[in-house]
Amino acid sequence: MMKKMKRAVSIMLMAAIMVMMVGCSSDNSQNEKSASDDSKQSDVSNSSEASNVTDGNSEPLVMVYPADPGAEEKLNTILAEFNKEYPDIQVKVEYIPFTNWGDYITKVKTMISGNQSIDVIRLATEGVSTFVEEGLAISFNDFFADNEELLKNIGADQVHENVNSTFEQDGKKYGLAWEWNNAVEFINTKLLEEANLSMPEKDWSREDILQYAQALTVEKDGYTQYGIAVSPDYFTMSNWIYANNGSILNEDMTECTLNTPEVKEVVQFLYDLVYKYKVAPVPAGLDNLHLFMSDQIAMISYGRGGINSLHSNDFTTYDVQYIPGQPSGKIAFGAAGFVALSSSKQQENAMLLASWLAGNKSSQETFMKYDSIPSRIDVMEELLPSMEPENGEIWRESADNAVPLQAPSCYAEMTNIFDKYMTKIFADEISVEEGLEKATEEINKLL
Amino acid sequence: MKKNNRSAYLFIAPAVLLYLIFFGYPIIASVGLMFFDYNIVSKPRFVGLENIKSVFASPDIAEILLSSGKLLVVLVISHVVIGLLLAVIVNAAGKKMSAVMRTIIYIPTVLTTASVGVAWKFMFNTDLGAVNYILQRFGLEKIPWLTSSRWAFWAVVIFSIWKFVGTPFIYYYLGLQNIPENLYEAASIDGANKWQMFRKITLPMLTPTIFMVLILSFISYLQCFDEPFILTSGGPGLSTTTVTLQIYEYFNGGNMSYASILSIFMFIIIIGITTAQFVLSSKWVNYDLE
Repeated sequence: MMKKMKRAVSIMLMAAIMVMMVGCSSDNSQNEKSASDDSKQSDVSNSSEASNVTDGNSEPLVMVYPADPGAEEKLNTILAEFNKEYPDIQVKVEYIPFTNWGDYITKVKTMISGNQSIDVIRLATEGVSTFVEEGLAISFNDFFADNEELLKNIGADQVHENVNSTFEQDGKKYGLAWEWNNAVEFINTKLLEEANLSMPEKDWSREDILQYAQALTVEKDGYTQYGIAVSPDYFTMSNWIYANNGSILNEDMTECTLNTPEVKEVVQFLYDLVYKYKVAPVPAGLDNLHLFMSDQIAMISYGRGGINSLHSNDFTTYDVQYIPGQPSGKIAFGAAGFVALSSSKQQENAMLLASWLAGNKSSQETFMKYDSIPSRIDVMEELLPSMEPENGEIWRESADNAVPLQAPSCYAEMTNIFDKYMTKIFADEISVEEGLEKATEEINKLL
Repeated sequence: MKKNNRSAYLFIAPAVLLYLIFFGYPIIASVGLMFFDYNIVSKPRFVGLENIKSVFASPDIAEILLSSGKLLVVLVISHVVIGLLLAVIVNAAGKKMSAVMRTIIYIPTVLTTASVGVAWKFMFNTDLGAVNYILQRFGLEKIPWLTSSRWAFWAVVIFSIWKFVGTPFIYYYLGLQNIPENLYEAASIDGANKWQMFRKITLPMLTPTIFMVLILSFISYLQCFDEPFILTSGGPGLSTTTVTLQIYEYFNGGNMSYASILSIFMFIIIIGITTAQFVLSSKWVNYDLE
């Protein structure tokens, strides 16, 4: 009797596993497409399922957006404007709590896998490759070709070409960039004045920044005011490395180049700022912006998104300058925009919404005043010189040298390896040379 | 009798059903996912034992298991011992003092780990943190709490003890309250000193509580996630990366199979350790109150 029961339970367990495996597969045929499958993609965008632009449709478009503070209010304002032009296209926004792009992308994929209807999502550089490779994002090429006049009216032609390259893969466009960010050097002007220093010139070198850091590192009332902070995260390090004409991966992202002389030179310099010259605190994962605002660090590498906190805290004694080497070298950036999903049943309208949101002038003026850099050239040229910081136009200039952050589909695992060795290097537990060699080896295995 | 059994089964059926749906099915699904490549949106692809081999052949797994093991041993011992010591001290204090001390010890437990974790992260900063400021005031050197593999481990332990020792403390405190006073009176009459009373009365009478705290601590710290995630993000390197943190990284990277493999591995370890504890408990746990 017991034996029969045991056998029955085993069979039931196996059956349950098999049922689960079948059940896990999505019944949405678009999920099985690959990015290189041209004919299927264009078939989808021309299929009878895709409605024409401005056709009345009772189903609202569903857009997924990170639940950033203040986002709902701003988005409601912008969508109200969208509906003035397109009253037949209703949009329902689903806000997702956002901690990092990895969590956000996993959440969106879970929603797609659960057959939740999603038409448009906000997506950044970190996720574009994944969505394209897994066939989740649709190409806008046909839409752009068929709606040139519409796009011109939206102002999509104003989006900076370099910034938009994030959304281009293998000759296809998967959306329009809405905002972007690089890293530049934020400088505390009050501490500069105390040290009798003037704002550095844009072509300042690493030797110059070291001299500034040394002059700005002083002992004050029992604590050390540091001249500069080092941030060994992937994004900031990419900016320093690119500025030295190095890169983390080769051009087609099939090989890691962390062990090249250009990269070693920069990482060694940053390491020396901490341990040899002692003008930077040991990086410990703190948000340097708070230490910058409390005058404990005079210079930090940060993105324009930081001015939101600075503005909220009424901190105005700062300016920005290029990271040494940036003006003549390359400038790493990440961009975010809107992508239409292959699972959408209203693909034309989804692409219209995505393009409008990204390219519309007031959309960028509303969201980007104290946030990332707007992608439209005209908005950059109007907004940036008119507000703090004084030297803010370098963000507009830097677009001309901007090169997308390298984010292959294994981005999450790759940055884990990068972070692992960078933290060891900056904890002084491994030499720069050894750390970069080991990171290169592991990342190459991954690629 | 049969009718009674039927009614009983009917009553527990909803709970069993909920358990099977929200616990049983995910566990079975995780077991299945071990043998498939799956990234949520594409169809699972059967790969047999390949992923299991990859996970356990990974160059990082040994270091992660070692970090987890070290944290487990230190955190369990420290919570069990420190919780008991605090309970004994508070139990011996006067009524008002005891109430104040209980509050002070237990308050960190009810605070959100994320918010206090961020505060401790600032406090542990090598150059600008309060902890090193205090150490320097006493003439001691600054400690690289979060930027050294060796010290990051202890930073996690210190934070964990501060944050979570309230729970074992409360269990022990209640256990001490339940020890009959007449046992101590009788021992006192027989000439026993405080240490003898503690060894011969308090500890044996507290063994069921110690056993419970041990079980709960093992289960909890085998799955240690919050402390290293908030304080160190598992670094420097992998020095404070626990298995649960690694499961999170795999999940974050869309690698469901690897995440499932480690989850089932943890499940087996937890079941094994808990079973062993129950088997061994008969040798040292005393349930006789008289």
